[in-house]
Amino acid sequence: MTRWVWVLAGLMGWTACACSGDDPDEPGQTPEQRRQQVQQCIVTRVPPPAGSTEARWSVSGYALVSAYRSCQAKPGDATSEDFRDVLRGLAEPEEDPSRVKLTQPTGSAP
Amino acid sequence: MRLLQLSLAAVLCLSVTSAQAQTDTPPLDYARTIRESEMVFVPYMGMDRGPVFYTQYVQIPTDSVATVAGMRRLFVNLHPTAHTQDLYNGFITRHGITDARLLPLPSAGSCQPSAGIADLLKGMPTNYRPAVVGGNYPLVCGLSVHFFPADEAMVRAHIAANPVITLRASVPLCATNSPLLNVPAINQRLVTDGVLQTTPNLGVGGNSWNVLFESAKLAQLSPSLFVTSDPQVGWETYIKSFTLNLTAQTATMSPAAASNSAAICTPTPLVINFG
Repeated sequence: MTRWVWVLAGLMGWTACACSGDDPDEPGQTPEQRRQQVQQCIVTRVPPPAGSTEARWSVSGYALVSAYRSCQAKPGDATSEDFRDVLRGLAEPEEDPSRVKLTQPTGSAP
Repeated sequence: MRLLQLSLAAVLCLSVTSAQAQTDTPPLDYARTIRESEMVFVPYMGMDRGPVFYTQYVQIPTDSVATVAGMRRLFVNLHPTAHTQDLYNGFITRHGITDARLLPLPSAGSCQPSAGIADLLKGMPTNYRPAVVGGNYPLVCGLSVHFFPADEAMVRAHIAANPVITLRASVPLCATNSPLLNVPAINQRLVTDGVLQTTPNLGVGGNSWNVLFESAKLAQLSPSLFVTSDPQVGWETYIKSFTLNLTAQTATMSPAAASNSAAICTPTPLVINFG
């Protein structure tokens, strides 16, 4: 009897999460807040070169993807659509397809 | 008149075809590099065609001709010694080579007038001082030399005794044992996942951010596909096979690149110097 109660509770919880649409990682966090949080997380993992005060710097696209994926609460959150959305305002492509130019997000120090 | 129009159309058609063939060549197959005498041949993947690079040159002046304001002009051209010593034809024949007839300049280096010839002719008017002119395969470059008729013997004596062109080039070749990346296999994975689509000319292409993300994720999740112990190295070779359209945010890979393996380069540059 107890086992089935737990199974039922788990199913109810999963259903609630699945039906909640754009579920923020933290309670009360809007999608834009989450996006900015991920941006801040990314730039701590691929920061500007040491000693640089430039607001823009070049990083490896591989390292950027690795940073983005590690900044997700859940592996399933890392999608190409979300990647493009998170990079809006943060990253620009370079002529070299393996490199990306990052711009310091607003509200953060270089 | 009609014959002239047909001839011009044929020439234009051949020119366009030749240009297209030159711009969509497969990657170089460094494992099949042939080095002999002063020649280094690297074929394209799957072909016996490729560039021949020369490591030894000799400068040869032309006859002089009269030019403006009573001056005379000659050219000094850099010729590969493999051609002047009649080594080239046998090399091509023995190895069944089709020469792509590519020059290493200006992409891999430059020619400059030597300090000696510049000093010798420093009294010439500014626009008539020694100046480098582009090459015409197999001549890698040349020097235009203006002088007054009374100085021709002096100029020729200087050319006979001194290099008058300084050639410095470094052709970015790769070691023959550079590991190979199976580009078609990686492309197939990304086509299956809907990241890449086959283009009308049988290359592949897709949204550049999607290609960046999904290919890097694939390298992180399936590193063996990207060969090197650090999959980032193999990934960089892969992603650099694409051409980006920064405005349209697209990444495209040519048919030749999409259908061949690519070397994950261990750089072994070919240094070519003269003078």
